[in-house]
Amino acid sequence: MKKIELLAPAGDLIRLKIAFKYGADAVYLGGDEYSLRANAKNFSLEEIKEAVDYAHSINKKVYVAVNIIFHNQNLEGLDEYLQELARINVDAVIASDIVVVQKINELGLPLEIHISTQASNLNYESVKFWQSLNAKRVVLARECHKDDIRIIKAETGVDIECFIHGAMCSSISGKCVLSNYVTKRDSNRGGCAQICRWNFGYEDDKPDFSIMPKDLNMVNHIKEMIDVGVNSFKIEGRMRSIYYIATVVLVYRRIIDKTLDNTITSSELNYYLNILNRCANRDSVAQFFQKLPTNKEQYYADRDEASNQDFLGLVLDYDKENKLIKLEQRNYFKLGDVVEIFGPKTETFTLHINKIYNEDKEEIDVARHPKMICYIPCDTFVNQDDMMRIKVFDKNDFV
Amino acid sequence: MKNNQLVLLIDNDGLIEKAKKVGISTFLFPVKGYSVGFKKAYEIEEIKEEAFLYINRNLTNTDIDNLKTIFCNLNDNIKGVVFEDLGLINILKNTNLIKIYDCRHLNCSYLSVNALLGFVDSVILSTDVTESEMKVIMKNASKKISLYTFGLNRIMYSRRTLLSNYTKEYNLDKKEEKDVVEKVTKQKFKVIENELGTVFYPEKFYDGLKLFSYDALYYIVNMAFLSVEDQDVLLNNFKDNNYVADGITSKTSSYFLDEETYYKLPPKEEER
Repeated sequence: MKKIELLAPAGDLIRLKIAFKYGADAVYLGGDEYSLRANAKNFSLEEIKEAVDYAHSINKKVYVAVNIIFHNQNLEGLDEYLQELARINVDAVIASDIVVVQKINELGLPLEIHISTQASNLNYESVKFWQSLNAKRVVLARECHKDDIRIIKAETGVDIECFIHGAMCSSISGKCVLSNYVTKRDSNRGGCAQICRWNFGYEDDKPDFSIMPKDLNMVNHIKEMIDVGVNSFKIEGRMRSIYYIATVVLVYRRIIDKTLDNTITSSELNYYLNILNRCANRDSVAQFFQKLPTNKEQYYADRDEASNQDFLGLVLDYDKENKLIKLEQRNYFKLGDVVEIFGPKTETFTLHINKIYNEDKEEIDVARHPKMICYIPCDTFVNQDDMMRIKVFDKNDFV
Repeated sequence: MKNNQLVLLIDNDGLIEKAKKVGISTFLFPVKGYSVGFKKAYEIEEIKEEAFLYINRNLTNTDIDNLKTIFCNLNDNIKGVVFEDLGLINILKNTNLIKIYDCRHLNCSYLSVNALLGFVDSVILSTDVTESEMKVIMKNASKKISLYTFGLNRIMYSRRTLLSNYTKEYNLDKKEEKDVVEKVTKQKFKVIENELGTVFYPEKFYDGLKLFSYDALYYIVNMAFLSVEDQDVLLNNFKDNNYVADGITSKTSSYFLDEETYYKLPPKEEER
């Protein structure tokens, strides 16, 4: 059976562990320096070491993004940083600036090199260029058509990583400095202000001009992606919640596994598609894989992006004797609600909330306080880090 | 004597004779099918002047295969290629063409520039760097680099046909060029589309003409979208090796030559 990697984002150690638990084979993360989420909470070197040690203990991988475009003053400390990543034994470095690749080679570091999507690779000759510099893997531009992926694989044999889910840039990644011009924040050093999400006036009597793409979603194309030679399936979103990470990773884990053993059905795919759409609050489509996107693959000014409160709680423990779930609340729920429990080792099931107890085991009607601890009776065994969400639809609705 | 190192990027034929009269004889032609962001691009057979070809797209496998054939059959007037896709490095390796890599935003340090110079004859320095950064880069460069000195900077390149998509969505007349205004900051942008993608330009023309005082291989002046009157004024200035934008009516800015962008946001007041 082909080895296909599911690669998830990790914004911190908690999300990293959730990603692994829900089925990711590898995660990518950014350090405090040199990553394209400059203003987010990133990993210190100590945390990267902890992440790598943890990942390796469960036979998984950690890739570290060193993918800013360096200015002269950012070069200071790069050698030491890369040496430290090598010492920590990270599984790969994701680079877009040639200086990172050159440094790894010059210093003779045992670091696998992955070329970031920021380098905009769409053809086999550009991939060969990076291979000549010892790149093991290339994250192709999101603009790559499936025919181009097939040819790149055939001509180069490189490890191919493609995005399968999450937000898209309107621009070819790496080719946009709108943020620099509008906000002075350098998009290629992690400061992107997402100007492509803003509105532009067109003419006084016309609707606003919008360039915002819908999100990427490859649920219906996983088999084709495997067939054309994609090795690693990447989920976007280092700043996403644990609920989003868990949901998206679990859905793609199941699709990939069932695709590889030929048991996936169209009704299941439809069900998974609805779960993902519900989770993200944004429409998602296949974008460039099959054709050049049209207006249907973009959002316009009248888009609806209402946030939802589907994520109700995180399972902390299960009391087998008393058949009680210990739950950390994440959104309001009450007696009478119909919910679902899902998890990597838990077949999704429906639960009617007939009783809720607070931390002191007193009956309450409503769980209204964020992160409050509560207990819910449940006959079915659940695992730590399973999640509870509102039940919106049933798998059988899609059969 | 720098007019012989000045490369004029043009998107209309009328400029050629005027430029020659002031001693400029090298032109950069956007190539049809391989360039984005111009109202006019040229078939290679149309180009009769001493010229560089401008290929500023990210290329597909088909483009690469086609260009392999094209580069084997160029006339002698084609001096070189200015290109943005790394895939062309290998293809151009065994030709006599001058190879100039224009990676736009991806070469902002002297080490990156030097790494790239190992593969080409020159690189065009990103306009995202400050003048002081540029000085360090030029001082440490292993070969002479080339500089954009004037013109509209391309600041966003999408493979999507964004104008067509918009007009289709709202059933409006199709346009391939449009000025739009960002609604919060009121900044204006010029949007240009062809079948290969969409490009955003800022409202003001980049004025880096002071960079003529640095020792570069080529100085590129982009005349696209400049009014005929302003083109005439510029060329007249250049006649006497006077590289200034004095007298033109278009708005100009030195952009990031004199103003650094933020790498990380400055701390909020209460965090200082």
